[in-house]
Amino acid sequence: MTALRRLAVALAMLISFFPIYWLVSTSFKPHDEWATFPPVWLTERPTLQNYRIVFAPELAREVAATEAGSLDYKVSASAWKAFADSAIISTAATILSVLFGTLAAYSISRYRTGGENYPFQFLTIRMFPPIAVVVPMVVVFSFVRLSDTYPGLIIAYTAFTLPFSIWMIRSFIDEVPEDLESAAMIYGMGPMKAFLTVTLPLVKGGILATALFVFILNWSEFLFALTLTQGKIVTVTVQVANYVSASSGKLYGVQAAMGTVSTLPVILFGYLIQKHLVRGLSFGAIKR
Amino acid sequence: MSALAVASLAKRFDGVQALDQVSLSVADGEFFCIVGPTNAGKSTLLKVIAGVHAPDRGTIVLGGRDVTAMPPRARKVSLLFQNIALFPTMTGFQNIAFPLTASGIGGPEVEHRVREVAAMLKVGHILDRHPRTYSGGEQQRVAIGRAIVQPGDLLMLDEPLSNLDARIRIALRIEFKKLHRELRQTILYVTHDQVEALSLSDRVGVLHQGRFQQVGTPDEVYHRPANRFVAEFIGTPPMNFLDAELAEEAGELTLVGDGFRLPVPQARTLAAFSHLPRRIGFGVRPEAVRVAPRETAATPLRGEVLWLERLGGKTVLDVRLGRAMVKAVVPPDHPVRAEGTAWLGLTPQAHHLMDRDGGAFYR
Repeated sequence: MTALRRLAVALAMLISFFPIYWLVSTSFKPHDEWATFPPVWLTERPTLQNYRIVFAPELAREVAATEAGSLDYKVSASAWKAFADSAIISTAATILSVLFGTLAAYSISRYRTGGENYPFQFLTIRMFPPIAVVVPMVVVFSFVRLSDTYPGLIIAYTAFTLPFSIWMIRSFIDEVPEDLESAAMIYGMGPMKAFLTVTLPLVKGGILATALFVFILNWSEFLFALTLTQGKIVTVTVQVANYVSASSGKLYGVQAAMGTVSTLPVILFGYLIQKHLVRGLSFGAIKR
Repeated sequence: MSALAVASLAKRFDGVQALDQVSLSVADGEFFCIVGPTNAGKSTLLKVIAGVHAPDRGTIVLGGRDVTAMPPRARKVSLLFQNIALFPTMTGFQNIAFPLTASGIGGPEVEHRVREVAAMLKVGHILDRHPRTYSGGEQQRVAIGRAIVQPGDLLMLDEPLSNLDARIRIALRIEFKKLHRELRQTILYVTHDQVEALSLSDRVGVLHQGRFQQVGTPDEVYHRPANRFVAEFIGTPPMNFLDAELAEEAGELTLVGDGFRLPVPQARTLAAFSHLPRRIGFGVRPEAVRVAPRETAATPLRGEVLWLERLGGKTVLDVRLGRAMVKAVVPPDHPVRAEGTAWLGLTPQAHHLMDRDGGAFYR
């Protein structure tokens, strides 16, 4: 590797990792170091108060009463509910999106369902900026009583990630020679069983990579989570936005604490499927 | 009873007529080769017979059953795919066993039959491995194993030798012949290699642009081709074609052309004799062209050798005769061994008289 290339890699890594470093670093800072100039790169007075506010508000209040200078922010509920809501909605929507995506992709890839331009019609769903459809969606969702419910957000997320699922999974299925399924059918299987036994194991990695991608989209979605709920359901992203106080504005440290914790499930998921991820993301990985 | 009867089969793909009125009957136990250039519709025909593609028109009857509307698994056929199509996630054993396990057979019978087939194909030692670790020849053998482990009414082989190097190709070619003798199966074999077709099959069908140009024994398609396409496709080098005028000279039918004057007395025996045109074409196999270093009664035509190709076992001469070019095949020790003047002899056959425009031979 040339020196120039090393430099470029180092620079790219710096740019990629800086926000993560800043997030984690801020989450341990006391409130007077959140937004000072010059910035505090690494605090000398690390505190867990930000995390207490997120996960144990009662304890945070007790600590604030005894420890001078500690942030005293009164929230009634802990963030556990937000993590649970996000986990339920994101997981369910990811499973549905990948499930429907796989079936649709198989149909499009093998039977050219809908004709040559059909896959592009799916893409047009993504070309709409969500902000353009959110108001009508709020109206429709209230009308059919899906507003502020799990199914409501699950349906919205599934619909908006389906184009990604179809496109990604289709490209993986396209990579598998159709003759493999034909062979399975000639030697005794129906089309669906042939797909499940022969093709699915070959595109498993791709489907998992797609699932991770869709999960990240769902987990970090904010607009629908905010507008299609009225308080009964709170996702992680909405909860983060809620950490605002009248006296000190945005509670950066608390938001950073919650942000740090909320990246963990994504990292965990990525770690678990890492074996498949490299294969899944490198297109054309199937040896012909 | 014929093992396979295909009638008026047609199939269109994206505006291309892949199969156009294909009819074919293959006898029980016959080794039938379909030969043709790339994109002739050969693979499509096999896949339509196997049920992978549905035909637009026509019927397929296998062993007396009309299977046209049946799903592939109900047709009792085997197909060896051109790209082999072994299942990458399964071992060699699982691949060969697939037709058995997929149709619900299990237990010791599977083990027994797979071992038996593997022993015959000499792949017993690689059954635990996955196809990606195989050499080309091993992949091909395992794929053949999968195709024959559950004998059906018809075994179809799509270019089974095309991905292999020359040495394995010749070895496997003989094995297909042996396999056919041992299994007594009806075999439909697709190839673009005319040598393979002629050497293996009981009968050959020459497919071009989705239609059979001719169906017959290897001898028939070689010696009595139906049209110019077949005559050019079968045989290396291909048949020579010359333009001539059909004239009657001193009561004898003669082909008169640039640099030659050749009698064809048997032309009268043709059914088409009464409407033969004046302007006519005719074909001569390069092997039937006589060549000599000097003029003799058998080699009266003066030509000029422009090019010699020494191929070891034979030599191919490119000879100019009048304005036409003629290829001749001679033994390597032939007295004409250099470019320059040579003398040719041609004996046109009545069944090699050809319609110059349409390309069909008169019968």
